[in-house]
Amino acid sequence: MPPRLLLVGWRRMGVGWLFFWLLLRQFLSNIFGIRRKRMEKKQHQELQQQHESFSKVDEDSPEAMEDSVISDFEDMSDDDQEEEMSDHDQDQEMLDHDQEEEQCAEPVTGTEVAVAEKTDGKMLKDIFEILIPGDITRLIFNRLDTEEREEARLVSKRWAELIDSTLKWKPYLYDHGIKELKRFIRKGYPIDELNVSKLQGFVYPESGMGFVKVRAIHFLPFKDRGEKKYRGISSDNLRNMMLELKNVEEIHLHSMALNEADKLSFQSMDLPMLKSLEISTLDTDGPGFDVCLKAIDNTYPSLVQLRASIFFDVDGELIELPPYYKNIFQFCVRHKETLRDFHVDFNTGGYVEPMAADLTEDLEMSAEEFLQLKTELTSVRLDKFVMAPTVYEGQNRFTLACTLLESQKYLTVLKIPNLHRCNKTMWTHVKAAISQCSSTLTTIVIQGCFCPSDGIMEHYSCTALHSCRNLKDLQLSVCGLIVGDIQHIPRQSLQILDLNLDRDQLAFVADGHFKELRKLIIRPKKSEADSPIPAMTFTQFLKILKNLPALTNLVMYTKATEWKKVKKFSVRNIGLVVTKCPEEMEIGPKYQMITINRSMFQYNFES
Amino acid sequence: MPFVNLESSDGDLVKVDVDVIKCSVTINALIEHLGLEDDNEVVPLQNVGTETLHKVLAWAKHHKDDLPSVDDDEDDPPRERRTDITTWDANFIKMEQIQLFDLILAANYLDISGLLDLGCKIVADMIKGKTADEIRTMFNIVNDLTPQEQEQIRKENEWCEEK
Repeated sequence: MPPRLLLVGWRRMGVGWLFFWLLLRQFLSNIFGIRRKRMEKKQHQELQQQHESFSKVDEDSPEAMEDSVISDFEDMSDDDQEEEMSDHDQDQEMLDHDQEEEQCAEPVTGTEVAVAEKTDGKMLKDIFEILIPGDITRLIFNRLDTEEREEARLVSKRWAELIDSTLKWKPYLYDHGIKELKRFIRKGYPIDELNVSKLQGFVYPESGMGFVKVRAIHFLPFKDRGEKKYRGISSDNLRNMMLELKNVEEIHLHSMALNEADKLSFQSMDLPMLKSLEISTLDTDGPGFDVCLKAIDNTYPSLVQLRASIFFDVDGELIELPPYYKNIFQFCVRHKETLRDFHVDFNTGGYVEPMAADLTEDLEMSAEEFLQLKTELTSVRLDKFVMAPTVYEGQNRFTLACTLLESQKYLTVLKIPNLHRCNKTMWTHVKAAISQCSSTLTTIVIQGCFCPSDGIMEHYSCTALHSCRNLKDLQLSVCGLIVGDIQHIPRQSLQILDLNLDRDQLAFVADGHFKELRKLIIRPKKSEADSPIPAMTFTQFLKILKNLPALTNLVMYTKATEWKKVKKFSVRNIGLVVTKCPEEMEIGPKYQMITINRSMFQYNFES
Repeated sequence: MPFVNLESSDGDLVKVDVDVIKCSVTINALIEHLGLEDDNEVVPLQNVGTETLHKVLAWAKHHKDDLPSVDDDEDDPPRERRTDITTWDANFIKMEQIQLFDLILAANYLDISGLLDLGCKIVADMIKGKTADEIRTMFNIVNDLTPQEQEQIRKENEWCEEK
């Protein structure tokens, strides 16, 4: 078919340019036999670009290499191809080669010749030299943990350079490290985060230090040898530094590191890009406690996350504490357009509650102010609500917390890590929030103690979880709480399950209804406050291993398990490792964790 | 087209089932773009020697029925951190540094992620737990860092964390 006819056909049919060119190219190829050559050349150009760093030697004469490849291809005649071995012969050769590969003589490849010219003999070390692209070394170094990478940085300049690109830098700005920091800045590495510690002798230049692109700052305390107390940044240095870092997105304030800062440092600071404010305060730290809490009185137009950990020493002067709780809820209202992540953790270090002496007047606000704040809180829309109330909460502030919780409809994360019986009012609001947010919730973590003095246990039915279709993490480990109807827990997406299970419920789990479960924490159901019932048999343990194919972590209470058998089995079978539970689980010494490596663990359950 | 001829940098031709070598993104792309239409077409691999090519094919043959890895779970560790390695792979990868070097280069050039991961894992395992001195000895690397530079690196080590 002549090209002209093709063109006319294309116009009439309205087919795209691409189709036209494909046909035209096919036509020309049939006539002149040039298509293969061009495509070959183009493909080699692309591959050369994709792998240009692979062969630095190739870059010495890329065109020569390309021409060579093309001419080789062109030179290959049909006769040459006919001389190839039959399929059978080839397969046999491959098989033979598989068997002999250990004894193969060292070949002289094109790559090797090229490398040899550069390095006087090819060695694996060359992978780390200029010849090889960063992608390969990144794959290697990413397999090392941070300590191993730190050691490997000391091998050579080249190694340090390669490894540095796999690390995130969070340098320290403090008096004794200024020289090293300046050298580091000169390297030009991206500094994403900055730790700021004792900065008293050094004068932060008004012109800045070159930290304009720092995204996050952590103020951390530092104690020199011989000094009695921790020190932090001076007021002047803080002011100059924050002028340079006014576009920072995350700030972590630690009260001990801000004892020498002006009390109002953060109250009036203009931080238009701040997305996350994290505060860690302890009342006995000194003036830094106020500096941190005053930061809550500021308004940050972009703020998404508030994380406040407010700790009280049990011997602290409670009467002098500022009305921090009120300020936190006022902060929520002021930031209601942007705030999505609310994480407030109050800890007294014991059972003494900071406002215990004044439950009704704990907020120091009028009844009108209180009601207005309560109303305004209903318009705050959060994604994450994490709150650790004190054991005995003040009435008014507790009411505000419950109002904020019960107003939520789109939570993805709901965590109350220390809900105790005396704060049981919040449990009602937790249940309401679970129902209201069922379509969005992915994580529900409620921990604490409802153990009663009168022997009457609290009950919770999982029917309320039935519509939580996206639930991945369910942890209802509240002692004294009887959780029933676990067959209603959504099964498709659940990956973490932590419940006080009774025998029947454990049998249900062991039957393999939660196929996607990765982590299972089995706590014994308690008939009374302190007497655990043996919960798991060895047979159930085997069933769990067999029927939950995705399970990689099994945590169990050793006193309520046929633990000796379980441990013996775990030690004998490859792919099972018994360890203590990680500290962050805060689960206690009587629990042990079995890690299951699914690719290694192979056991014939039928036997 | 069930077979394709691969030409090593040594000029040797190796006929291989397309199904075996489908793990190579590079060869797949070459086959597709070159429009190879019969069993006698040749794909030149100027960066892969004959011996290495045979090793690659042995690995590909053993893994041809593997399911493609899907990293769709954010809770999973990154692929490079997975430590599982099959017995076959462990035996396969037992080779001299020089051969491992070629194999990694070939896997990278041919874009065979499974084989590249395997090679990189082995090299990483060689480095793990060793001091800088031991690493230098193992790879015959010259220390070009001055004491001051080493001190600076040690200081910087306090500032880094994993990406």
